[in-house]
Amino acid sequence: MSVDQKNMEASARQFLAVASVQAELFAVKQISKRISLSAKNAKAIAARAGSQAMGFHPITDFIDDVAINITQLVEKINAEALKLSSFAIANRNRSKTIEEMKVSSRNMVKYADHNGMKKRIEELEKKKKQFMVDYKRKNGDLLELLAEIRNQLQAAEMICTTSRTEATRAGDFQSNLEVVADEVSLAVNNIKETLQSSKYHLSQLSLR
Amino acid sequence: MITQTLYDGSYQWIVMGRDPDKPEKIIDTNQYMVIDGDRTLLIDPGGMEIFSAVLAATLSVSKLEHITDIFASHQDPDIISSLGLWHEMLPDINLHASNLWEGFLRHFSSGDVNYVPIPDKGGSIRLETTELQYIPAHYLHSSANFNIYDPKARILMSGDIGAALEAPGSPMYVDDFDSHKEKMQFFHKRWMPSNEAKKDWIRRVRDLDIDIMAPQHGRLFKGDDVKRFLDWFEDLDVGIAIHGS
Ligand SMILES: [Fe+2]
Ligand SMILES: [Fe+2]
Repeated sequence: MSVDQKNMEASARQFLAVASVQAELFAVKQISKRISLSAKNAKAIAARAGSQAMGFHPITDFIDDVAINITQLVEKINAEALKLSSFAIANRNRSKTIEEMKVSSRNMVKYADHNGMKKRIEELEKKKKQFMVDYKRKNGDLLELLAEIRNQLQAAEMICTTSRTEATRAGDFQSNLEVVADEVSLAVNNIKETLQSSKYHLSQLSLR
Repeated sequence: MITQTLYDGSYQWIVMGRDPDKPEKIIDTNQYMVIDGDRTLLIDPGGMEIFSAVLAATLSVSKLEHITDIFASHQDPDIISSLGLWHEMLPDINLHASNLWEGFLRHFSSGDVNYVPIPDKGGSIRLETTELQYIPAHYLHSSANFNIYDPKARILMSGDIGAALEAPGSPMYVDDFDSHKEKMQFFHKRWMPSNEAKKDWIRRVRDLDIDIMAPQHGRLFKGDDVKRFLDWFEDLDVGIAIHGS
């Protein structure tokens, strides 16, 4: 990236981080759609395989559930990250206001109480402190949501292993079902990688 | 930022401008305030970059909690891009501006500023003891645009009408109208879009009793120079860009 992130203002870095997380989560959503498609595919194959692939039905339902859960979590994270970002914008405006008020205070030392400015600056700074507390909490909530996705992925991985065992009992359809299991585990790995970078970006949202 | 009193009666009109610390690339602006008891109205308080200077100048004569109202003649950034900062500092502040610009001007604040819309036909604002009139000046230059007229102080705050681009540190009032014309000419010919709107405004303004015409850029017009300006403006062909400048 040609943007010089090191010298970027903290708030600009945050906005960039939110945008990056959103792009990544969009990719995760696409992948989870693929998982859900694979699950449907497996279901169709299992149906054709008849009694040989009986064990596959609950597995495909489960994979489908995982895909749905991931999609919902992604949407939730997206919404929360966006809220956090506009929250940060409001705080940036507040910081800027405080900063500018202090500049004008310095220019008017001759007025005893700066005509009411001191009090207002104190109030705004209090608000800012509260903001920091709220922001930290919200950021923590976001990371928790990410961890929840990881739980879902772990479950999906276990299911892939079970699928492979079940596939061996599916006779002629064994290789077809194995392909499905491979697709799912590839998708799971893709999501894992993407989430790694989302986790990094979300950590950029924490205020230092 | 220099402050100068324009009217000192039971309430005051003050101009703030000629900011020596203004960043160079930013157009110089005049800000105005009317202090009437516990209510101070800021007129075209200006851009973000000059916020702290305007604030310091304002608080040298008014208390912070007395700043209750802001008027924006139109939507330009040099008029009102400081809105977000004023609003953050004074959450109860009222913004008076054209109803047409509401959805736009809210982009300058967090969106929930107390917006008092002015209808096209104009209206008035009552402060503690005095009442100021909103004079429609649409299409001069902005499509929804107002001046403020104070019949008691006989001041017309004319927004971008009468604006001139001046060297830094120039005097507050026009002292030689003929040489001043040059500094206004291009601005009015290029920025003002409509001869018809111009004529209509001049006709209405000629009926007003004006001692001082106070634009948002450059020098103020006093006494006979107000009439000289109206005559000059009347003869000026505006909206020239349609002929390719
Ligand atoms: Fe303008
Ligand atoms: Fe202007």
